[in-house]
Amino acid sequence: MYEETVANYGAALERLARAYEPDADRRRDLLQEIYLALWRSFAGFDGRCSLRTWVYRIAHNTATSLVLRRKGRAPTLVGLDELEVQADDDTHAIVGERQAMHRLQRLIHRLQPIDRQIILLYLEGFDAASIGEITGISAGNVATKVHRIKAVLKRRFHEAGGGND
Amino acid sequence: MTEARDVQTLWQTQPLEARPLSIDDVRRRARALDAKVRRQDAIMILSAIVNTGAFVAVMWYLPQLRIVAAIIIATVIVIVSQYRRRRPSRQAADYLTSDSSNPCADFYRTALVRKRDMARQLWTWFMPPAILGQAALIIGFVIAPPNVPRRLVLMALPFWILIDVVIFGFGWRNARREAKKMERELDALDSMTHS
Repeated sequence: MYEETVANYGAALERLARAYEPDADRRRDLLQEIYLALWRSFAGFDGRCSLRTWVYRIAHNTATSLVLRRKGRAPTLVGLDELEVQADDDTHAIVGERQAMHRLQRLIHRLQPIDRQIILLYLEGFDAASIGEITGISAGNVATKVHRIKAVLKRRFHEAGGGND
Repeated sequence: MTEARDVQTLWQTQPLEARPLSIDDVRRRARALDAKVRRQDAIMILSAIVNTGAFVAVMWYLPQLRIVAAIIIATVIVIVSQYRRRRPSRQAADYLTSDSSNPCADFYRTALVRKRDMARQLWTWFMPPAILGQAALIIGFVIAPPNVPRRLVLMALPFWILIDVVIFGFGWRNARREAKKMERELDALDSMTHS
């Protein structure tokens, strides 16, 4: 089961680790911690949810516990609703994919855990029902959050993204 | 970029660098982690033994401080045993075994409740033994000052008590603030999961 997980979700797990930890060395540690948590968790996998849901829950929960441990040292995290009304602090036009990715990661790093989980699952292409199953957030709230995510992304990437169209 | 879908594509196609852990690497890391927890436990026990030994020596060489030293030893034992019960490494291990497959909001809720309760209960698990230890030390110095004129001890006493009050007050205020912050986050979380 571990090898299957690595093969199917390895890339997604690395993207997830990037969304939680900007520092490369710490990110490697986090990713290893996620793999370790998954390996240990499989003994308790009872098939009541899909393997995909299980993997994402374990990965996000492991990463969230890291955010909680570091909370005192981390910059203040904000919710999507706050981000929606805040002015973008980066007014430079996006001139390439690398810069767009950098801006996207900075935006994700500022979010509180649940909002971060929802935006990441949205970016991975999950639908609202799957996001609700993984996070435990009600369908209505997931739909509202996804709507906000789209608005924030549109404002911060499409309107400023001239060079990358 | 023209669509939100473009941002999704950008995210999903970003270049990656890490090599996934092989099963052997995972097993090795699990063993290293267990060894680290055992090492932390050993350090905690060793420091308790050193502290206790130091105050046993005080009891032996300064009989006038025997009762005070006994109270301090009891305080060290209470604090160490409380810390062992609540230490982060044990909590981290609990996350990995029991809560980690729960939906993320439930997991986050459990973690917030645990942090809130720890901050709320600071008064019951840490403050009383610490205050008792300080009080015992102050009383001991007033009753039988070791090689220091009692007048000097009495002059320093208000400052000593003031410093203690400031330190404990600061700790208590921070804990209350932390508990309230956790409470606000819990309310926000509940509104997301229940509606």
